[in-house]
Amino acid sequence: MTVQALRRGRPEVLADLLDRFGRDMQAVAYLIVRDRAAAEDIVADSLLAALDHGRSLRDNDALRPWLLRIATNKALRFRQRAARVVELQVVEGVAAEHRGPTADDSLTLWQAVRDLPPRMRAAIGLRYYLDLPVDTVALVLDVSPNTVKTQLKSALAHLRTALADEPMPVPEVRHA
Amino acid sequence: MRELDDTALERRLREVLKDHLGALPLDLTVDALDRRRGARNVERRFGRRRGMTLLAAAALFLVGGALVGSGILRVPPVLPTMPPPSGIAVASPGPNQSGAPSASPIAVAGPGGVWIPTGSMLTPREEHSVRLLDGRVLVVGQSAGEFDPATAELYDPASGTWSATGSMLAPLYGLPPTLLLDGRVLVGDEVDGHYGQGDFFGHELYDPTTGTWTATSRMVGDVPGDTPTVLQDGRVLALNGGGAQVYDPASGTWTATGKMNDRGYETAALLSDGKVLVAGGQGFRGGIDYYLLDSAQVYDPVTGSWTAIANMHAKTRTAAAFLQPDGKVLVLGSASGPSFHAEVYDPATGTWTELPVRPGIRYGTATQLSDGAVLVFGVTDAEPAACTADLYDPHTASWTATSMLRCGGGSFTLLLDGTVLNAHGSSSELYVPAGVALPRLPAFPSPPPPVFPSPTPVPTPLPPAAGPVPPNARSWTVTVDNGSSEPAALFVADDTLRLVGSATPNVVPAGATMEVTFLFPVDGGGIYVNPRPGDGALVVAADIGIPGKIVIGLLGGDGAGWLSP
Repeated sequence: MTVQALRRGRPEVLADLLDRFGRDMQAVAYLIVRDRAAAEDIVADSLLAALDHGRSLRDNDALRPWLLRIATNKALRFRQRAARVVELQVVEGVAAEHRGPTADDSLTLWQAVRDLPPRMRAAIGLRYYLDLPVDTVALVLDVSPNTVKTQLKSALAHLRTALADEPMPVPEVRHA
Repeated sequence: MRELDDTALERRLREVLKDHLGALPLDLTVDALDRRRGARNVERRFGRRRGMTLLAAAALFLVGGALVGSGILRVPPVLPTMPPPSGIAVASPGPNQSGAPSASPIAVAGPGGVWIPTGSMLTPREEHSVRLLDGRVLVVGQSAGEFDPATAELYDPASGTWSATGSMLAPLYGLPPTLLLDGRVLVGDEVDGHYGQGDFFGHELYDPTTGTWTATSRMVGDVPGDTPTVLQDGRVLALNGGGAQVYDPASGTWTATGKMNDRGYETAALLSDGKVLVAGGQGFRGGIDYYLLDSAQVYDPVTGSWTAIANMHAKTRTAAAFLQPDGKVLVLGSASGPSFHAEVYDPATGTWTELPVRPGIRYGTATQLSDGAVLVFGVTDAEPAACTADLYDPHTASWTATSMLRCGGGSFTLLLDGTVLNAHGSSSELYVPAGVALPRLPAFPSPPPPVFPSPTPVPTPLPPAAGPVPPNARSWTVTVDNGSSEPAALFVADDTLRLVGSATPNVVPAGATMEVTFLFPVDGGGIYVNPRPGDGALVVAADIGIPGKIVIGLLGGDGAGWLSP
């Protein structure tokens, strides 16, 4: 019924879509753009786009991957536009022998996920947070399942390296 | 920390993602969505966009449907000489009716064909077209974003103009317009029920002589139906999920066929012997597990039964199937990738042959010309993507990349004169294949040049201006060493990139090392640099009075660049 209402462009379906899929879309968008406000914007734009293009949806089972695909595409394009602006992040109180900004491995792993390339972050989120099968991840990302497997394998290798206990070179510090 | 194996790492990763993403608050409300929708509708009313956007194209990936063209080759009328743009040739005139040579030359399209503008539609429409027996074209439904999907228009090839015709009884859904042997058109619809209480799928018949629609019976089980094939006896075979039904125009009733042995087929073609081939497709198992099909079956209208045949070479999301002059069937679609995939089925041997295709192409749409050739539109896989058009010659089983500049949006309909009508948005154009006579039409304005996909706009750098300096702002002096080849503009902003503080000086020239003083709001902000200087190229180090050393990471783009010592 949600799909039928969506096909008709019924605006009251937005509440249903937001309730059922909003958080999933936000999660993937946030992983890609790394900004909560931007991720919410992307969810809003994606739901409105779904309302506009709902008539193209034929398979009820495709609703969730379809919405995730819209949100993923929007988030990746947002990253493309934002790539010219780079954030410098101050990280405090780090002992020289620890790699990365914190000594806690959960935060290290989270930071390492955030440092992955955007498409790899998308694949990670779809596979390990939303638990989508590889073929469905491939459908959402519009790539082949083999590409998804390669991205996931590469991502895990990056993450494993980030968690490895290796000393980091001491950076230059200037005292005021 | 000990190295984790894949299983342990994946488990850890799931926990971390759940901790961070699961706790993410979503403050978006339905009211906010409604306000945003209202603002967009105002913008639409006063500044409509035409044509297919990248998003619309992306969203249509799950739309099945085949464009089956069957043309009737007719001797074109003798045309007066027309002032030709490029792509036009002048053919030797044929004899007139008495057999005497005609003095008037015929203007025909040159190699590669030519596009010429024709009349604009009354309402933007993108699909669902069918040629009627008298040569006019019926187009039903509207473009995405519009909310009146029951209207229809007629295109008159003689004048190149569009006119409204009767509206459907209910919005079009399911079975696309299908021309019956008696000249009427069968279409699926969706009766509007109350939200949350379900809708009903039905079917209607369009009578071109009266321009009106009447309801006919629904499919068994009230299912919508798709992928229609008109059988040699005039009945219509339609698929639905894992089943199929046959519509009898004489009685106006639907009957279920024998059982199919797979579900998800999306393409069908009528074979020379009257049977119907279905092959390839897609679906979701359990609503989430996406799959592609490589299986194929043949339907026998005499026995009403399905028989499995050899599988295709690759699992393919099939989109179109065209019967060739030699009785073989060209099947087109997207294999896993998604990459353009083409195979030919030979009913005589029951075998499939995979066709080599241009690599790096994604399938878009296809249309069959009157000589059996098939024109395929797509896009390249590269960034930025470019439109492609390839012509398949069934006589040589080979492809020729053409230089046509259309990206394949909208509907394509083969006309009686051998030209192809392309209706997209509110524009429409005629493609005149090579050797086909140019239609005699008034001069219509050319539509705007196609933009597909829409190019990603390159943002201009943010102005390195200071934002409002809040009270009790915190001052912080850092050394910035710009090792990149471009000047680095630094600024302080909040999460939405609104300027909130200042950086003095705010530009560090390429190759320079300078001290920069930042003013921050008490509750924090971020230092941003534009443009991205490359990993490790910008070194920023400072001591803000907190014990321990400070590491400032450069984040963004496709990875992190940590400082070099």
